[in-house]
Amino acid sequence: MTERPFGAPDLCFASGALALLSAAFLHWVRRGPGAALRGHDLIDAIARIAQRTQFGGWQVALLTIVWYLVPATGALAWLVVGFGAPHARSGRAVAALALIATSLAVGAIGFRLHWNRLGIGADAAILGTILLLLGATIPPRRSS
Amino acid sequence: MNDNNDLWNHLTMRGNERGADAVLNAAKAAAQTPAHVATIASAGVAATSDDAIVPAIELTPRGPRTKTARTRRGFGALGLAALLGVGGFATLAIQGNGGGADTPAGAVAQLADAINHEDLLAAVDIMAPAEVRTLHGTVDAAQRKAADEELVKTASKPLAGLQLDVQNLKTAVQTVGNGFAKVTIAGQIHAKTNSADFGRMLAKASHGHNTSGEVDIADIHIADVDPFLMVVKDGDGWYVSPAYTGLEYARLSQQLPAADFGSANAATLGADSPQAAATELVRAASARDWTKVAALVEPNEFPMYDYRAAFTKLMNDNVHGTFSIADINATADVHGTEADVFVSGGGTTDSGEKWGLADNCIKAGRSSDSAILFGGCTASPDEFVPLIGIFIARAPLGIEAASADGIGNRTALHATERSGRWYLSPMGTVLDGFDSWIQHLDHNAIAALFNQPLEITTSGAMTLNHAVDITKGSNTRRYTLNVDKLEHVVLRTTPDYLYPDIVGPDGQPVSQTFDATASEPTYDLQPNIEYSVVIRGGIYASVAGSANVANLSVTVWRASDAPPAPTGTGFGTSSGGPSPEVCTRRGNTEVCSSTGAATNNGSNRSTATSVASSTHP
Repeated sequence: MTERPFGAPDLCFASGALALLSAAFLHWVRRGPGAALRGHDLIDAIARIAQRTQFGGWQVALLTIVWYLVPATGALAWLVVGFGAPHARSGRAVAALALIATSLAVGAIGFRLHWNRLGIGADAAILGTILLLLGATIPPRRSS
Repeated sequence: MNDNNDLWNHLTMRGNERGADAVLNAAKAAAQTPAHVATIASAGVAATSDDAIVPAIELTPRGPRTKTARTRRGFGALGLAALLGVGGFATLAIQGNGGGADTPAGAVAQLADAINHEDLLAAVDIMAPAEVRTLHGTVDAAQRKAADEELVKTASKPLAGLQLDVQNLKTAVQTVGNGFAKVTIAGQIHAKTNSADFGRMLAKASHGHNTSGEVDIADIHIADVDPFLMVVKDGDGWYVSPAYTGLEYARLSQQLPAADFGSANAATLGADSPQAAATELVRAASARDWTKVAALVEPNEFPMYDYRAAFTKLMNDNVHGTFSIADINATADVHGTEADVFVSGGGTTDSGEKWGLADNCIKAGRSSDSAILFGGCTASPDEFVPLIGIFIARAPLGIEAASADGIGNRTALHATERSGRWYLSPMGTVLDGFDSWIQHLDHNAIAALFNQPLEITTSGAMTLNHAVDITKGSNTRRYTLNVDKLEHVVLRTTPDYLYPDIVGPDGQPVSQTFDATASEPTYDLQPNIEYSVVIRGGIYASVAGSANVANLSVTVWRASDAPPAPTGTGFGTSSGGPSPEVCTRRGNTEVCSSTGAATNNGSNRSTATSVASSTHP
């Protein structure tokens, strides 16, 4: 059995995963409400305030779950690099999940606030998703 | 089962004891031929077809892992750890746990950081959770109203255009109780406005000017103490408490006894039901049992019980009258752990006068059904209504009535259930009133509030010597006024304390001329200029409701035509002279009526019986 080389798809997946995980610690809002809170602190604060004020209900719960899927797909992408392959079914599934989660999270926050107020966290999530999609679609290098 | 035992016995009893390598080598040798199958078969176990096709493989020693494999395994391990971490954070977030700061000083620093980022969300997140609970609806409604009325550009960014910067923040923490700390603060606050980011109305009110300034926090002395914030512990985190901060400042300013921090146990205070909470409050006030009054207020939301000693002293020093209760009743509209309570009852005061309580408004004075009220509860929500030590803010002063007809809505006390006991919720009650005020704030009221009279929608045109009836409705309104030649006019109202303004086309008030020989100011109006007469809603709505005045009107008199100015209390038409025509415009038609008598009766209300009407195209 020959060992699969660490090629461009793996590199895309590994760096994309890093970007997605980094998004959990970067500012998602550039200015105004939410700008003082980094990454998951923002979503945690929204969830806490929603619970305290019984405001938002399922929408906030859904946003929390969707938002946490963004770094979770980053973690899953590293697992794929470790134990699977980006171009395999597992890799494509993780890339697709990242696309859905990032689209919903960025869309929800951008729509609620304003698109031009989205911060570097959202940029990192988008970049990470693009890298994952690239990794899942670039054909793997043939092993010798 | 027996077959298996036989097999294992056979396998364990065979041969001699030997090492693992010897066993493996023997197995390898046996694997070269299917002889082992025969061996097993001899033990009475049938060989399967699979035995025949198992290929023998050469076992080779495991070599060192390649760099690529190690990298992959490393990513796998990182991914697993990251997934566990993300899962943990997500679980905490969904449960709503966490939050707050690790230390009292950290809570204040987080608040300063939120201010620096104009981040209301982060500011709310570091506020005491129980105090924030009641705020969301009001804040949300206020933001939406501000956006609708163009005070802010977007509801989600209410502080746009205002940049606050807390610099060189220094804190000193003093623990004042278990889970309570007083954080004295020092530093500078730098404020800057950028009117381009304001909403249209606010930008206009600021005249497009940008301002900036800096204040040293140490110079802000309230109650003669260094500025501080009270910080409380809730769960594992420290939060800034606006309620404790406000109460502590109030206590220090009045030099009242110290608080008994954390003494309120929500499971033992309060009342059995929302109705009981309200009626017990009235009875406790009647008995001047201020500790009992404090015990009926929701302790997490407004810690009056912790400050009961200060509250008792304050009330004993300042409230001297007593009252007895003949009857007291309460009904409650309960929804979950919240309730709206309506109280009614009555009795006599210590001076023998009757008092009554209906729809949570105290009536006192001449009789229980007197129109003279504390705050005019039956009229408008424009006043603060003192209800036995708790102030029900029906609305801040000077703004519109709660309903179009000027009659205030029935007001409910807000009650809430905590730990199985019912409490009155002063914040909830105040915010209910504030919500009602926000709901009924209209564009004209906001324009008046921000001194933008020309933003007020016109209600029609005024002509000289014709009164305009403003009894119906209570909204702020504006009438246009044009003259054909230079006119010397006086402005009169019924009653005489409505205080309208005449403003020019630039929105600035027309300057008044005070003649030493006249008892009232006059205005000089130029031809070919459109003037506006502006009547602010809050004032006359209050007058209409509280003072039981039947007719409210505004007249711009040509000075030479004006009836003699009254002496004494004012210069309105109510004190003498002919009643002017009162005109109501519908479309292009103006219907005017005037009373035909009462030229010299001197009373405050016309007693005329005949009414003449005329119609002007």
